[in-house]
Amino acid sequence: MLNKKTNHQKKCVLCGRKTSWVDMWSSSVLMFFKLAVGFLTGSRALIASSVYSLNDILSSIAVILGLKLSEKPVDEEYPYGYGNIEYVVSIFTGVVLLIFSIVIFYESINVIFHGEHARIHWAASVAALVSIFINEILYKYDLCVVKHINSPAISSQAQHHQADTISSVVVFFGLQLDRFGYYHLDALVAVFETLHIAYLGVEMLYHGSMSLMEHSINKHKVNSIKTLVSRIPDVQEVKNIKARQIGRDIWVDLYISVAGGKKIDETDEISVNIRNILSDSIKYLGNVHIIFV
Amino acid sequence: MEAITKNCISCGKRVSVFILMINIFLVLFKAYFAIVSYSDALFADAFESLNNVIITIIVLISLWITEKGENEKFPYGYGRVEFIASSLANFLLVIASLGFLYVSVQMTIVGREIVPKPIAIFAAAVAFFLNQIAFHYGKCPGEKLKSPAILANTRANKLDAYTTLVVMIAVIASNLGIPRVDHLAAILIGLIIAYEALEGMILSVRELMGIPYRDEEQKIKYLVSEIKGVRCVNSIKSRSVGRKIWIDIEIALERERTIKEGLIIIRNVKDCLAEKLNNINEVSVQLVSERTF
Repeated sequence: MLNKKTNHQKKCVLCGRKTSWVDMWSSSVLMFFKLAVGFLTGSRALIASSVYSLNDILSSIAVILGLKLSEKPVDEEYPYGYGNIEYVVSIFTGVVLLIFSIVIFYESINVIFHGEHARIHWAASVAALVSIFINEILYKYDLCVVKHINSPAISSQAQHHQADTISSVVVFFGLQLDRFGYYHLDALVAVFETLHIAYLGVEMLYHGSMSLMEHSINKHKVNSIKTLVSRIPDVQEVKNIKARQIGRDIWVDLYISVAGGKKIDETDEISVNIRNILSDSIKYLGNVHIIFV
Repeated sequence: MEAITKNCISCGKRVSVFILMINIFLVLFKAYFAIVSYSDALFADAFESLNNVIITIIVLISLWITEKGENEKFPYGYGRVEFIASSLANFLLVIASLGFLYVSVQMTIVGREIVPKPIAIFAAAVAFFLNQIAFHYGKCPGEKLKSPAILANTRANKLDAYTTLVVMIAVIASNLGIPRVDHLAAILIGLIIAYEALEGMILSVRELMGIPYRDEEQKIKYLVSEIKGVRCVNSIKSRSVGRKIWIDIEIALERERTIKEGLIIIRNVKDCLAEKLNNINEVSVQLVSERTF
């Protein structure tokens, strides 16, 4: 039973990694393409749109690293495992997105108030269409993978591609209206994009930081752990639970009281019992520390 | 010892606010004299101080957060926020130094056309002096409190002092008719800053990933092994939860011991460690029976 589970998990990891590599390379090509065309045509909206592709690249790297390192067990160098690496990547991605959004925001505002209008070459519209097309394909591909392996990481990658598609659609329409003399619309679209990117950046910084600060898992899960453990016959009371997420795994510090007269080798059995019950009901369980109080 | 720590904590905050004031002043001061003296280098240096303003704000926020005690949402406290602040601060420093490098290389290639007025030398000297004050003032609380955030902040001021020194050399050399020495010095300084900041960033990231504190672990193993009733120290894990360390320890007792006796032994372990070591936040002790092989 254990072997079957491991084989299936291994397949999931391989499939997830392949998907992320495909995502990463496609997004890299797309980002440079949009940047190049954006600079050549002067479309700030397109340049801002390339930051969405940068976000796709960085999140794919996070997934690849996360999947690679989640296989590595705890070792002497990192006794609490490598799971936190995905949150570390997340906070740096957040900062990078913020920096780019500030720079492009400033540039775009400058263009709106001081810039001279120059008609943007139709190549920018073509680039926007290419972006919509490629992102839609990647979105559908990721969704299909999610159906099979149910990975939250790939699911969030799919959402990133959707955001990229939507932004490219807005860029495209902005560019069409630009032709009809709605000057500065391209830069205005860029401003809105940068605001959204800044929001995404702050969100990533926030969630990454929460996890790195060993934020507790949600209350429901904590309560269900408490209920499960309280039901065990020899456990008098669950005094406290500290549970946090390291990568995909949940690590638990359980503070329990048992009858004072119990011998230590009896409590060994209680500990084994607790660990078995928890690993049966929690899919990704890290270490469980059982502390008698 | 408690009183000193309390004073140190409020000193740390006061000092950081003072450093923020210095950095804000430096931005305006350097920018003004850069414009007045036509010095590109001094203007670039003003951006470094702007970067330091952002860093100091990040540090201040983290100092405010780190003090909150542990609660349901954050069962291990808020201390790790300082490592997040330190990682991001150093990351911003890396980016700023790369920007400074880029500008220096560009100036080396393009060459300087306008010789900056000697008033820039005076401005650079004052800025250097102020940065040194900020650095030395921040060093004491940083080291006493072992605060990664405050130390990251003082590093930023130290490096700003170095770059300002280079600017001073650059302006002097320019006025003496020696064109290249300043650019080469600038590139060298830029590389040193980037290296130091990268090192600082990696250190903070490793703390977030949970590197063990081997020296403390050795001491603890020795101390705990000596405690009556402890047959063996099976394992010790340590990680930083901010300024102090969290210890997870597993000790083996005789099979026949009762839990009641075990709890007394745990109390003795905690008291002993609290007495002998002053950088421990919490010791969480697991009890198992001694295994005979």
